Amino acid sequence: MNAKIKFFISTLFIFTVFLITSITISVEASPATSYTMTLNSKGRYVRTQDAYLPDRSVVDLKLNKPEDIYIDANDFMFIADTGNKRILKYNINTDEVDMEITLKELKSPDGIFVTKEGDIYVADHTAKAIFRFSSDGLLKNKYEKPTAPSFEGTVFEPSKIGVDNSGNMFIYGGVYDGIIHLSNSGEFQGYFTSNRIELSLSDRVRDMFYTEKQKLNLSRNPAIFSNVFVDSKGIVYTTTTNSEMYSIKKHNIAGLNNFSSGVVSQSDATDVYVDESGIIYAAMSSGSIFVYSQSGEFIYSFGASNFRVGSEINEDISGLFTTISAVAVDSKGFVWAVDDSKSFIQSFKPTDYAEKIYSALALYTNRKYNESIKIWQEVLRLNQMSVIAHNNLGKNYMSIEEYELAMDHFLISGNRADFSEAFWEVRNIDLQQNLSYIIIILIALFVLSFILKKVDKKHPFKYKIKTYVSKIFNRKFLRDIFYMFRVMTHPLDSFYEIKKGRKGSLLGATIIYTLFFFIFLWYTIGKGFIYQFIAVEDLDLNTIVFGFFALTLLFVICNYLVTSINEGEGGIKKIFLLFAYSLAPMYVAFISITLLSHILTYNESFFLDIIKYFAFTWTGVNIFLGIQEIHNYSIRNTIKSIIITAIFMIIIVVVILIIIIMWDQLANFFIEIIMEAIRNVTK
Amino acid sequence: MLRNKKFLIVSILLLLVSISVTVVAKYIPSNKDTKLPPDEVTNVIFDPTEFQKLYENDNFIFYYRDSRDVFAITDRRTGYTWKTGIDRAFSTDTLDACDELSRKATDAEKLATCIPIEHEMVHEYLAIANSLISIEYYDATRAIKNSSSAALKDVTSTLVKVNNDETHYRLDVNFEKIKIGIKVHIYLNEKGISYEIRDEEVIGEGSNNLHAILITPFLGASGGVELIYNLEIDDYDYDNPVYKDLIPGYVLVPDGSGALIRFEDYNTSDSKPLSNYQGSVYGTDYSQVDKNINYQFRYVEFKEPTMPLFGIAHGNNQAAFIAYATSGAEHMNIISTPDEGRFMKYNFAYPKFKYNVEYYQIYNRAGSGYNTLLEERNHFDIDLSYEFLAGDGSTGLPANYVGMAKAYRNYLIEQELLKVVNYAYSNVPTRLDFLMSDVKKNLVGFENVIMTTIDDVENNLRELQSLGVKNINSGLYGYQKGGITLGKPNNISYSGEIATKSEMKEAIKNLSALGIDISLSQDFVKINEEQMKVTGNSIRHASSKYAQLNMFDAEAPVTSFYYARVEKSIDWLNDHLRDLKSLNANSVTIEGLTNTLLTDYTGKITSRAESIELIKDGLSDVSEKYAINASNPNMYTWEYVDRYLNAPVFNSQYIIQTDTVPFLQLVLNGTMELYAPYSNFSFYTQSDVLRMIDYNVYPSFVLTQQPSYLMMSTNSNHFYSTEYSQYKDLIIDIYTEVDHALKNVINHEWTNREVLANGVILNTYDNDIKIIINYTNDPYSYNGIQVEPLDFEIIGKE
Repeated sequence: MNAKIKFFISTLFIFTVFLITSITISVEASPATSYTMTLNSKGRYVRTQDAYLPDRSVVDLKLNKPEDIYIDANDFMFIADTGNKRILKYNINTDEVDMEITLKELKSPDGIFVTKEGDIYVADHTAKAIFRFSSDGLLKNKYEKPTAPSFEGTVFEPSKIGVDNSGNMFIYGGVYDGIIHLSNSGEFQGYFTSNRIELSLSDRVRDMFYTEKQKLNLSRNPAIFSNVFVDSKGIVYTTTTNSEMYSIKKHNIAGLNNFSSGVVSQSDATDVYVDESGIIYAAMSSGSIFVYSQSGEFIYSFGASNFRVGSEINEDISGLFTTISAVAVDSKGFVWAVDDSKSFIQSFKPTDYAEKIYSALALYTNRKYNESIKIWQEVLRLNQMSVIAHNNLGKNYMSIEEYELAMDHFLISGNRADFSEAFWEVRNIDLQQNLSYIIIILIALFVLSFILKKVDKKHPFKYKIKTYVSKIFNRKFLRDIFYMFRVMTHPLDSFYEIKKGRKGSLLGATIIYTLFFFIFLWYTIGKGFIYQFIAVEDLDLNTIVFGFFALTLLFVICNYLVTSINEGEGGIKKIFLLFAYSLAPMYVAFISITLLSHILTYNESFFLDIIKYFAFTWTGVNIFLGIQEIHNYSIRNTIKSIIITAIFMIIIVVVILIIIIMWDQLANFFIEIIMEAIRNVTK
Repeated sequence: MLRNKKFLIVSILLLLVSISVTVVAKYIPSNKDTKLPPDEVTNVIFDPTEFQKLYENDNFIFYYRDSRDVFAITDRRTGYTWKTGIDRAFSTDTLDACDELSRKATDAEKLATCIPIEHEMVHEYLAIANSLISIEYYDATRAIKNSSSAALKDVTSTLVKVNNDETHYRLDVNFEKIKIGIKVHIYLNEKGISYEIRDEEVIGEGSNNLHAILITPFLGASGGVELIYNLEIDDYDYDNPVYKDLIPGYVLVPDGSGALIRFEDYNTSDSKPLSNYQGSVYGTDYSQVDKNINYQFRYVEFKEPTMPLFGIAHGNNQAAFIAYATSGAEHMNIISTPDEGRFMKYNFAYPKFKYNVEYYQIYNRAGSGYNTLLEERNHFDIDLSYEFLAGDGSTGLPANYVGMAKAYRNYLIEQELLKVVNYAYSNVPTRLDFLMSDVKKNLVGFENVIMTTIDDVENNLRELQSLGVKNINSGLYGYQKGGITLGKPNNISYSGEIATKSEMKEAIKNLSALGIDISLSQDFVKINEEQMKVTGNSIRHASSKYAQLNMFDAEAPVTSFYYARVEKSIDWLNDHLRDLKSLNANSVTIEGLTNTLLTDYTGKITSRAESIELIKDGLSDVSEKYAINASNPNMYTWEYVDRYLNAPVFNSQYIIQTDTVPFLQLVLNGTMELYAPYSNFSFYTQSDVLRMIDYNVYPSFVLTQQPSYLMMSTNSNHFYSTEYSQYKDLIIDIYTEVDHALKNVINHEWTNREVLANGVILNTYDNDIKIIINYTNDPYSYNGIQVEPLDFEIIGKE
């Protein structure tokens, strides 16, 4: 669940804020035409070192709306040239067409898969059949709609296909929310997997209020699949459109999704391809290709849509696409993508950066941590901001028990959970190493206090210090300030004193209030890394200042307005005083949380939570008692006055907003009149 | 016997192994390579019957066909004839003539009259294909329409001889219906033909609706589809249109380092043809685009031409031309259309000069508005010269892209816009820039993130020099308070943490004593509101709003930028120089000013041409005292630039672009130092080093002392990898390799560049040195000299 929330936050960031480029000095050095993008340590979608560079644009095969490609182990690319009703076998290494399959029965070959044995499977949704050709292009089998009774009444229009090592066929087409599983002889084995209906928040709300009859009228369809792929180990992958989180799925034998917490993606996935080492490449129709590790960790995306706002013609540039229909990877790691709108194939060459990431990931999987560390460091040389490199270096260092190094890298990659683990280890080691010193110091302190007591008996000095200290603290304004701690422990008595004007002062309250703001600010920005979820540069001081003062002062004012017509005895000054003097528990809490957050890990986070809730409640009770005392209210009236104050606060905010909006409209109105007048005069 | 057999088997096995080892995948060039030259073109003998001979000189005979507005230019050196249009009759005329034939006409008569007609080419398009000039104009609904000097109706055109000078003609074109009159002066000369359209001769009530003038759009066009008369069915065979043979050849466009667009028929989908190449010379004018607020692209921005030219070559070193604007360049667009073009199945390329454009006029704060045309169209004179090249270069310049580059270079040198420099050094220079600081947001205001101090710069450069990097110059970016993003362009405010003024002076002095040139870098054009007040400083868009550029950058503290007015930029530049004076610096790095050109609608309009003059004046003053380093500068600044930084080595990679060529580098060779883009960013592999040698550009790096992740929350967050300690070895390696090759040709002209095989390049210099660059994974043998895979070989070195 936690992962899900994190995921939501990160995706929210990604697609609301798209990062592209910056300014002043151009760094477009490489032949890259699109940016390689990744998530940064704050979970934002940012530019990163080029992972792939556009290589060849294959335009001269005279293709017509090709819908699928497959690359076999010998680097032959099989192209489903859908519009021309043919299959091409194209040699990547020589740039020559090796074989062309044209069969009368082929109507719109839109899915292709080639097995290790060289059998070519073609899915044709118009012909409503799967064709199986031998490696030399002769038709071996034609599988048509399964005759099983359970498949009766279902449409069989296969458009994508994957075949596992025993010849089982996994088919998409006709049925859009399920993947059809056919045996190697073409018998229907059931649905391998299907998409469930995902309920949005609004759906759930509607469910609460709608009658059964109304619910029947709602059209709720599960997200539809868009492709299916089977890797060399027989693992089935699918792509789903209209679902960002679950657009790429890696299925286990039972058809369940291994990436149950979702992946970082877009909602227009059209194809997926998996290379020998398990790296997953997913093509988005709009032109990007997303790359994931075998565990579904997002590495980066590249490629882009050539769509340009305000331009009727979108330039066709190598590496940009109108729409991508298919993606495949050859033995050298080159990624090939098909633009079915413009009918060409584009290859991308992996850079050092990409190759090193893949090899380091593989080494980590094979538990070769030291080798892996070496390569990750090379990755860092190419991109010192690489989150994946820092993260994996951290993990590798954790595995070889180099916790402090691990902490450094988790800090840069923004990985708080693992940082906390590493920190726990470091702290543990520190504690163990220094335990003897700690014990010695404790004993020494004990002995010292014992000696001091003895000395005090003989030559009394304690009272001297006491009087000296109380001299300092006896100053009026200091006494006024420290009175808040008295309020903390004896609220009723203290508020009575305040009410009578015997204790506390406006100056003291203002100092407490202002100081509290700075402590609040420190609490907001000064916590330890694992508890500090927002960086200073992302904070907006104006919002904090405005929010803090507006909210608290609004409370004071509203409470005054509400109580003054409700026989409240306290004036605005008294209300302000009671509010300020109630803050002592929060003072203690904010300071201790901020300090403790530097030495506590996530294992002890409950501790901080308790302090916080305790302090909030305490302050709340103080305020409650304060209002009761100051206004001389009964409990019932106190509750009433607090509720009305809250409502009043909301009303005031709404009114202010309305005034601002109307003022803006009015200003616009006059500006328009003036501008029109100017235009009429000048023309 | 048995032993012999064994021996035989072993040797056969060995042989097999060795064969299978040598069979390696062949090198398949991509559009980032230069491919082998095109095939030969067959010289069609020109039949001048329908033409009137106007003039002839030593090189050319000029003909004119009045009925179709077509000039024919026969190159006497090769006999090759260029026509300014496709020279075809309107299909309706041919069809009428064919219909009128009596039934008794013989087959021969039929074929003589019923000549092939252009397929699917309505008369408007055919007229454009024939025309000397075509125009695009806004009609009453503000849709863009076409017309041309050779139109079937509503247009008259007459050719007149001016002042009885047989080298000077004028075509008076009158677009009667839309009330536009244009006079085109045509000059016939020893190099070819040139056109002049004077601003005051573009007249008529409708002249403000003129969008653009296209000059000879079909000169050198290749392709086309025609319908042939079929005697069997006694009619044109409409079902079987015939594709004309493509002329082997290419279009050269100055995109990036230079791109060739070979004439090809890709036959991809008809409904969505591949897009054409469009380049706006000197970059897009963001004051004349649709809206005043623009957003950065979500992909790498396309490169725009920095030179106003294009060329076409036919055949292999047979016939070519280069066309360059000598006036009106700032409103020139270069367009090359592939065969896939929607209506005309031709590959063709042409220059287009823009007069008026549509934009969005906002009238309230909410951004409501309406589309309208510029109240006053752009005013400029067009001067466009076509130089024809012939043969392989044994006499004159070769008819290929090298010849085109040389022709333009010669023109620039003649005009004193370029000057060949004689350098005193014997090792190639390298550029090592330093990022000193940039800002990130703090709770209050901004915080400077210090990446490098002046001491770091000095130490690192000293170290590199002692390790063999002999010839260094360096630019410091973000050395002021406020770093790269907020540093003030007008007066320098030194940051004590990076360098005080005296420390800066000291460092410049110390490094200068070692022969290392340090320059301070400043962008004088891109400004932002955190840095200064925009009012009065920023350029205004045609809508009189400030022209604004927004970034999509979640991490950058500043995401909205404006363009400074040219007068302001020049003022700031002068202020900046006043500050620099006491530093005794030898050079200055100017960002922005040399490659940004916008019309300014503040008060009295400052046109792009006026801006060019202001910039030239400003730079001229600077260049008297300082060497100027400039990033990707436009042509009009070249006479002042000493170091060309970030010289493109690729093009925009339009899919129709088949080759990348070092056209820019050939033009500028020897007139200024050219530096490659920063090697930090995917430009450091062996092929990239070879490209530096091939393109005659010097290596450059951008460095910091601190690790780059510290810049994550600054505007410089796209510098992912800059730390000096990570780059030290790479700098030395790349420098040593490039120096080893290019030091032999310092102060020598790069005379030719040939493709020996796919992936193998031969560069020739005027000191008889040849450098062979082998990009392939196989060894290449040239005249008995073996060039190792991914390596180069220098021939002719003493």
